[in-house]
Amino acid sequence: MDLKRKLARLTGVGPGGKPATNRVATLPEPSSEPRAESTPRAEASYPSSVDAHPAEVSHEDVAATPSPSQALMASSGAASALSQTTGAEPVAPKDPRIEALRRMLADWSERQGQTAARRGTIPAKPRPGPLPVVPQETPYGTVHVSETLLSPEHRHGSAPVAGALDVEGDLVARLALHEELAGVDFQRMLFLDTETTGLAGGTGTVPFLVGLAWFEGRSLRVHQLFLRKLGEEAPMLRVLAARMATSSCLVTFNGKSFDWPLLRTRFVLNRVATPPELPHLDLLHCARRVFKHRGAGTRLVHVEEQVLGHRRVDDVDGSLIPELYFRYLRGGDGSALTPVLEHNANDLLLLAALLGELVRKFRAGDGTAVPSGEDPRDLLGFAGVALRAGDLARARAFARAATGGAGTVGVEAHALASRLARMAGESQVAVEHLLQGLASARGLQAATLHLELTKLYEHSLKDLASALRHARLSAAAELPDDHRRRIVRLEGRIDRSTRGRALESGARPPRPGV
Amino acid sequence: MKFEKEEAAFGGPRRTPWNAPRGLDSVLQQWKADKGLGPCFSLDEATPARVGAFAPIPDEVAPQVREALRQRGVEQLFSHQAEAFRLARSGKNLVIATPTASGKSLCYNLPLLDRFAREPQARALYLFPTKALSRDQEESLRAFMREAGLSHGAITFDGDTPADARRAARERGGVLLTNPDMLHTGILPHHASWARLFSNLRYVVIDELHTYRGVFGSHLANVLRRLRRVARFHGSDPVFIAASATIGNPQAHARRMLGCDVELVSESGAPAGERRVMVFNPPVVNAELGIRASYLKTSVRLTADLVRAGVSTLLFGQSRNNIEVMLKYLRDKFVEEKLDPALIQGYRGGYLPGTRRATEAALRAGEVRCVVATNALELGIDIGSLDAVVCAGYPGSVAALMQRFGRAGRRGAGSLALLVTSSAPLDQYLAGDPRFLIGAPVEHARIDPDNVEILVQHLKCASFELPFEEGEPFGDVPPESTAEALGFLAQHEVVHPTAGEGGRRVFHWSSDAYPANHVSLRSVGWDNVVIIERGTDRTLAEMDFRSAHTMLHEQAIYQHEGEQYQVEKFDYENHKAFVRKVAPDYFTDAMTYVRVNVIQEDQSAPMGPELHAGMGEVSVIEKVVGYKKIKYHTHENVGYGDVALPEMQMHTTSLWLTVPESVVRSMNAPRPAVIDALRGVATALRTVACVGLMIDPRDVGKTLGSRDDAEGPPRKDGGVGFDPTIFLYDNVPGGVGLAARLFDQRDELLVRARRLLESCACEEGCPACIGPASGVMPGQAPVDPHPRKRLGLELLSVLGIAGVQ
Repeated sequence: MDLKRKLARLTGVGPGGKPATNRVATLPEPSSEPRAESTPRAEASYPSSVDAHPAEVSHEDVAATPSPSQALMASSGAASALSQTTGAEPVAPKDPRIEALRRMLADWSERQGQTAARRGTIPAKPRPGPLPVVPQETPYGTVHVSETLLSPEHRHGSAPVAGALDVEGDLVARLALHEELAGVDFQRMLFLDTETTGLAGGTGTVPFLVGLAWFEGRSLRVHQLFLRKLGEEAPMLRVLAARMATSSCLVTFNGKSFDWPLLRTRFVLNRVATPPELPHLDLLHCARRVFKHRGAGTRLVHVEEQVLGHRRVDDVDGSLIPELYFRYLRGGDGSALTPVLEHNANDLLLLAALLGELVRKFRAGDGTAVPSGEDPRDLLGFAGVALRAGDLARARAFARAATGGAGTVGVEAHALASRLARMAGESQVAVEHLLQGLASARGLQAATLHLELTKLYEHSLKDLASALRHARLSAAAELPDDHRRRIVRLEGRIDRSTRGRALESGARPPRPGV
Repeated sequence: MKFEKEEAAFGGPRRTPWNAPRGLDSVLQQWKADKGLGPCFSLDEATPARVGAFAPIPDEVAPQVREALRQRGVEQLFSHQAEAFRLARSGKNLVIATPTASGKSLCYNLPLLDRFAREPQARALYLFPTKALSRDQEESLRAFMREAGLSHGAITFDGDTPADARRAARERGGVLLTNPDMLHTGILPHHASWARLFSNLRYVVIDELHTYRGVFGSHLANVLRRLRRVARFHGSDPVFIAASATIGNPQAHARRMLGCDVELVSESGAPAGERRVMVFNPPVVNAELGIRASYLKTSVRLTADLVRAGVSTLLFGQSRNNIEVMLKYLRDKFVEEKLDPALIQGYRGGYLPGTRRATEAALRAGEVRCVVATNALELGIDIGSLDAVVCAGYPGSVAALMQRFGRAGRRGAGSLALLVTSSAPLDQYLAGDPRFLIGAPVEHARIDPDNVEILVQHLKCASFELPFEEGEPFGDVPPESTAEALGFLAQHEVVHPTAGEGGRRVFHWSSDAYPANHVSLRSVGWDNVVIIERGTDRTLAEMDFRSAHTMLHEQAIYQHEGEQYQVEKFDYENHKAFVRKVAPDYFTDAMTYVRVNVIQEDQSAPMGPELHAGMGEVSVIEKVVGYKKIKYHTHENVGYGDVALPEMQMHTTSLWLTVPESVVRSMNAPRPAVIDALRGVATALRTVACVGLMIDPRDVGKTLGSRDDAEGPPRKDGGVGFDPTIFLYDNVPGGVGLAARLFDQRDELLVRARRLLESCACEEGCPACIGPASGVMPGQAPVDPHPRKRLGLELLSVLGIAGVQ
């Protein structure tokens, strides 16, 4: 196959690819790390990229080097890579066809460079620096870890991280609408959050940072496993499996659809036995249900800011994380990943703090002592969750507390409180809630309340006149036919009952024409 | 009420015209006797009935499967079914190429079910080109497995499969039925979730293998390379069973597709009844312009004759529009004649599945007398036996035509297969030389899995699926070439090499992208133009970037599902075309300027004393310079417009035929007329090539140019002009191997082209043969002193291309 010639004439590699002019990034990078020989530098010895333009390469390398000391390091780095080249691959005899291929690739690169210039500037080459992880020997091989132990008093925003230890299983189960969590020992929970080489999923997406956190006493240990090199996942996965074996459940944010399926794939691909599934508390779904009336979205950062009052400074943009990692892999700056590790650690702290906060607030619904000062929107959210969990007393407490809310939240709270009162058989209370709600309800919302009222009056309180009065105001909340039928039925019933009463009292109904 | 009255008018007993003939033979007699119709039949051949060759059910077949067969009344197999079972059971890859309705499904179902009976955890993968086909097979497989007492299940997995069924498919399904696109984007990139399927994969069945040719086939070959790689990772090495219609090269095609040795089963043991194969060429109504009577109306007329006589008939149309028109005409005719219009039903892709199932059932039960269908009914769907098949227009390949014809005469009785030719060049070629239809299969399916554009895209997908280790081949791509291409990808930073064990480089996917989503199996490259409807902002379709130049330039009429849209804006940079729905009385046809430069000559040979043929790599530069507005129905040219788009360059392979300048000057005609005639010969060559190569005319480009650079140094002999050269090239970047085959068949190609010119009924050239002289407007045929057709024939004679007796 005349592949070389054809490759040289290819017009691009498609999405994901970069123009080959960028290949300087794959060249030997100067390094201050002591582990230079084991870092993924071997690719730098790819012959055609190194030899194609020796002049251009050295020129760029020098030009991009600001200080003499770095220049010195650069040359030593290049030298070590060079020695590797000769060690790894015997020098191939010069094949004229290879030369021709290189020439063509070079031409092609030039053309690509022009296209790339149109698309936007190529980010500057990062400088090398130390990677914020240390190697750790484990029974499963060497892993690269960043570890911190937080004091029991540590707070994330307004919330103590250790608050997560004080949660009750049955409350969490109700909050998460997930029965299985009731029996879980939350002293042994495992917080999990990964940073990946992409969001696409599938077998080509790699979690390069597996952030774990667990409690030791009341101190939270943050243990981040970093993938220093593609293809070295097995030890990391085994450590994760071992940690999971001693844990009681997983706590994640969107882990049910993203992190865990991705990790499961990695276990299969690396031929490491997939650990048994643990009960899984995905706080994304909890947060969505509780905070849905806030309307600002339930992304993790929103929740963090609004619920915990924690604002991140210089947080790395999640969409840039894959690129930062790839740059590191291609010999870039290790310290450029520091913000990524911080970002991940923050997410783990947030998980713990958020769990503690959610349960603390939810617990307050016991009896009637819902603290004032809570956001009515969240109280309404909690009421909805409690209702779905079948915890009616708690739902009522939260709904009643939420009726203080302004505008639609208050109206919805009244509607919910009314519904709960009716379920408890307290029709009069239910009516009062609806009437109070009507005070500030408008449009469709009002019509819905009227509809509820008419049902209550007709079926529970047997007050047909009031039922008809509200029915006439509920047109917008029903299908036209249903509405007409309701009105006709109520009018008919009123008619019959007045006639019935008239007969009972002995008076004859007035007859027309008499 | 008026409504009820009409109801009653149709509600009474149907009248059978007392004078209508009954049965197929009487209709045929009537046609032959008719003075108007009789002469138009350009072919009437009877293929004799064939007796079946049977074989006992092999002893190895598991008892419960044998029992299921017995319940179905199968006491013995056709010889080819037994042969297929023997080969598959011994672990050989095989391709079955027997005619339609010869029981191909059993050839692959039998070894599979037998395996299931012996190995409960075994799994299989079935690939079908269309969704409808996989649903159909799913049902029959399930029934078969139920009868054999196997609990494996069969699940169709495609874009329509609901989420919970997807989970079931991953966890439990014994047979997964899917299509190449789904395998490519939905299954392989998630293979870890499909570990149970891949680790127990025993059989991969590829039905309708002949449909995977050209670009699509080249893609599939690469998807299969990926499939085998993934299966190997999970520890399995499945047997491949392919089934193909009768084409000229089933074994070679399958070998190229699978990249390994494949056994061939081609001797059908199924019996067949006598079949009349006929070609009806509608009469010429305008001899000067070569215009013939409408083939649609003619087909309707002939079909009506058949249905009236109680002959169950299947009428195939080329497009959805066509079949709707024919359906309407047929029903109108029946209402006029007070016959029940419900006897005639339509069948095409857009109909709801329930409607289609009902039509299939009604057809099997004989409640429907005639179905008007698109190729949705062409492939394998079981509709029982029919007495006649009418094809309105040639479907583009003999294999497809034969598949449609194969619908007739299933029960082994006499049947009719009728082709009504349109005035399109290919149709007219067949009408002039219909022996193509009854001889041995001549068409060859061609693919080139090593087309570098396609290969590189699939290497990306493959490295997304599993890292590549240096020294690992990719299917039948040798390790050195694979490493070369991976190095190329590494330079572009889509893969990242790391040092693996033993110092070998391992290439890992290293990009935040999901490559399969960007690779369409139906086109080359990854560049697509999105077509957006203005007003609704709805995405109508996507089109590959190259076609967009001719189809989506501004002011072009873009046709989509029978609706017309005008392109209002073509955002070249961002690959978007904005269109708006219009109702024009014309469509547009882009005019392109094409220049071909030879980059490298791989093969060359003299042909006769003057002509010189060559084959090799070329660069094709194409520029859309304008467009014509063509009126619907009359096809008049009603206007022109300019287009300003950058030119496109493509590297591909081409065949070229160079005529020396001296020959041009020796002709007794002015140079421009000779050049024009040569251009016509190129048109004829392309027409002929399309029939022989089983390719869409769009996949072969043709142009007339110079063998050497037109802007190069002046000629050595001091003469004016250049050596005119006909180029026939693969209209696909990188080529899919068409040019090489054209080169191999160059002699036959020229002879056939000459025969096309000679046999065409037109006088001075028509679109069906050499093409009309350029610049001639319809209705004003000029008196040309040098008629194109005669000049073309003279040229061929001078070049030593003799006619065929």
